[in-house]
Amino acid sequence: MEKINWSGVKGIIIRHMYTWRRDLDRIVDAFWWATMDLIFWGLTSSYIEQYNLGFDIVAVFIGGIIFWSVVLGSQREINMPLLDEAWNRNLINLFTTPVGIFEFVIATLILGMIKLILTISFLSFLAYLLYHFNIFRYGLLIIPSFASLILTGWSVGLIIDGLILRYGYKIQSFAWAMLFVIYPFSAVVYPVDILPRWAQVIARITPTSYIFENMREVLFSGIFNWPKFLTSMFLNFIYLILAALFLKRMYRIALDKGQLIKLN
Amino acid sequence: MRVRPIVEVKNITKIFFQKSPFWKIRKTGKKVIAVDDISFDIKEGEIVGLLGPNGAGKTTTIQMILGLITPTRGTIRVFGRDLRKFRKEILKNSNFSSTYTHLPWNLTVRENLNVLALLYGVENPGKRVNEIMKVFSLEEKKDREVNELSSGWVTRLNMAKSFLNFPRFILFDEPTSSLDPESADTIRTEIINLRKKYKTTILFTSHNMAEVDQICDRVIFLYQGKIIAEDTPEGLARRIKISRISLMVGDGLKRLLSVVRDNLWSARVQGRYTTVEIPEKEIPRFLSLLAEKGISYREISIDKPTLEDFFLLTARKRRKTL
Repeated sequence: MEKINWSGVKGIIIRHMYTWRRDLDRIVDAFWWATMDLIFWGLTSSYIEQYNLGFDIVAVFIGGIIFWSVVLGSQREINMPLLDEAWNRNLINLFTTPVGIFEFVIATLILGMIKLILTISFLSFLAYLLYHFNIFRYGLLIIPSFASLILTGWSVGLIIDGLILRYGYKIQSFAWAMLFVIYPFSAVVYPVDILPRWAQVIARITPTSYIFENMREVLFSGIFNWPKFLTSMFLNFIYLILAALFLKRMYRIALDKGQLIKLN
Repeated sequence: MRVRPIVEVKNITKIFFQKSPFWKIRKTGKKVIAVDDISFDIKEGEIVGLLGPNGAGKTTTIQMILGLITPTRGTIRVFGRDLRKFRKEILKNSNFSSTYTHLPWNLTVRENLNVLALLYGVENPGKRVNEIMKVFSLEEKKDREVNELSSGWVTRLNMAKSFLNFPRFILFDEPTSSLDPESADTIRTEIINLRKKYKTTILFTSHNMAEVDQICDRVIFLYQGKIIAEDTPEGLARRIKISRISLMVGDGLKRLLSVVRDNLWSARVQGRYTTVEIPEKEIPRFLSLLAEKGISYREISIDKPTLEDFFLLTARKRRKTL
């Protein structure tokens, strides 16, 4: 295996940071929808709270939205740089330097983490400001939970990267939609038990469902369910390995079919 | 002792399969052979031109050498190393410039070069970026975004990019095609000077035959994916063996055309000028026939065959034989 070109990784990160500085929409995009969701569901849950359901509905909804933003952000920030290079017709310039798909993925993961920290910090601040919801009520256990959600976002992101490399622009709208396939089965605001039987089966192989259920358990009982967390991590590792292999295979096929040139 | 070439292309073939419905696992589509079993070497410091009509396989060949397309068969070695196994190492010491690729449009000249210096792992990138901007007179535009530059400046930036990492080998894909003649000439002169200075090996494609003639030491002519000729630009032109003689005939145009017809040569009358195409060795006999038949002319020019003549004639001949 060839050595990782760390200077190349740094180059890709700096290239996209230059773009962030210039293109406001790259930054706004990361905050806008999550903020709108937070406001809408925050207000909705505040309204439902009047009916005294016996649990903190605002915390469930706001927590759910912030946690889901972690999955969504980590996926989107993997795909955005690849699409950005294709839109700029810069893919050929990029892949004729000594960087390969591996360096590109490492750089996008780092870029994604930077943006995710900014987005989640902003959302947490906003949630506290608007609904007095303190994300740190979950304590330090929020870190492993977020880690698991990030891994799910990465797995989906890598699969979408592979599909974009292989099938080109026609797949790009899929980049924004694919993650939402697992949305209903992730139990973001409702428990897995209320799902129909077939949906429960899918939820059990969806790593995010364990994290969202765990989030509510911490809220209601203060107990962090480690077996659920570990199941989620186990599934994530399997999916991440499969997604990485899928991306590698799609990259090979793209080279074989001259797809990088067409994408450029 | 035989010096190992910088680039060794051995029996490479690239076959694309036309699309078949996605539910069919087996490749049922039609085969398209873009490059058909070609081999060539490029020696250190040599500038080789890759010529051929559209669809000849030039760009596919370049893209295979850049590692952007995997050959179906054959091997490519650059700096003595297999491209498949040592891609990164090879690309670290190579570079590429094409009119058809773009640098990020919303980054400035300096930012683009900074990023590229990091991608290529250039030592002391800041210093090198300043140096290369000076070489290509890009300093006055350093804080301009690429989308604010004219095509001439964009080409300059692409040129600066291609020499940024002190490459031993550069591929230029029609680098001057979007430029006016003066800017194109400046770029050509810079390529020649920098090649001398750094002993860079260059593979060059262009549709401008005069440019290829001026820059290239050797030309590889591709047609329908195959190499059909390989020589110096002069050598290829000499293969034509047909010269063009343009005359401004004063008296005896009919007699001239009759001489041409009798000898199975060809002639074209355009306004006051008549152009006769004859084999080079027949020029003395043609001139004596003019005197013998009393054909008077006020002006005469004899044009030797050019690379463009070779290109046109070969392409036409091949099309006819198909």
